Amino acid sequence: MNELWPLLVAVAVAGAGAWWWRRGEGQVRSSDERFAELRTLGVPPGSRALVEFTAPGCGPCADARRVLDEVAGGVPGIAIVEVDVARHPDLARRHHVLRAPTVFVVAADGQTLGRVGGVPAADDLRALLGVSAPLTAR
Amino acid sequence: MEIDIRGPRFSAAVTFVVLAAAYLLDAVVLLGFQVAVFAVAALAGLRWSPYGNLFRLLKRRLNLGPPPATESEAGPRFSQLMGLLFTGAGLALLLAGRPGPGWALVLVVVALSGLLAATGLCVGCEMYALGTRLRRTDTGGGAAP
Repeated sequence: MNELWPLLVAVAVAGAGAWWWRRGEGQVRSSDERFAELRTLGVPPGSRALVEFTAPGCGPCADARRVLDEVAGGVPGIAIVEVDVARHPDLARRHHVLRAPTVFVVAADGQTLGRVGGVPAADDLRALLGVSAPLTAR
Repeated sequence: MEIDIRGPRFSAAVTFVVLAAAYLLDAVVLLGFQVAVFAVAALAGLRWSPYGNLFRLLKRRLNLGPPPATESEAGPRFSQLMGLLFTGAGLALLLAGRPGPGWALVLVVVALSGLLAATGLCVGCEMYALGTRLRRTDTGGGAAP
């Protein structure tokens, strides 16, 4: 029978790695990038955009999309764009996208208001866009 | 092919138990069984995965309901391939009389399987996505809204 401690060390190392990978998930980071590609991505002129970079086999990407739909639903002038990094790797490299989902909040002039790695929080996106949460019926 | 997102976590949990038991009991036959499971899933596709079929059976028997979401099998299948490479190399080292390096490779898979089962973080899937980004060039066309 083999010793237990190498198994425990392996699990602990994997756990530490997961903590490191996930530590920034959902956090809003500032960015001074510009999205010059908004028009080619189909965003109407004058619209702000929520740009989500997705990837094949990305489970959390669907969760992120639901958040984007919740934030943009019923609010005029906000477009949602999905960019598959497998089909647009140059775009992903240009914006330093290393994980999926990554969400960019983009102003109408293409200036990035913020970026979030992982599934974003709806309130964080609303704060960046300057929109209020919908009133809930009582 | 689209798969139930719960499937890979179930398979990872079974893999963790099998490989942890193989290591603790020094059971090379059990390790060989897991290598075979990885080989079937990676080479034939996830629809033939023994653990995937067990999950589908349990879904029906326990009435677990429809998938909350589905995902492409590409990333999880790549993870199975990585598992096959690591455990296959580990098995080869064990059979060659090198138990230290052999079990070390197996423990890597144990750790990553446990990670996926416990947290949903699929390192193989992340590596697949990163590799896709680094490998390809733009194919053109606009993004789907």
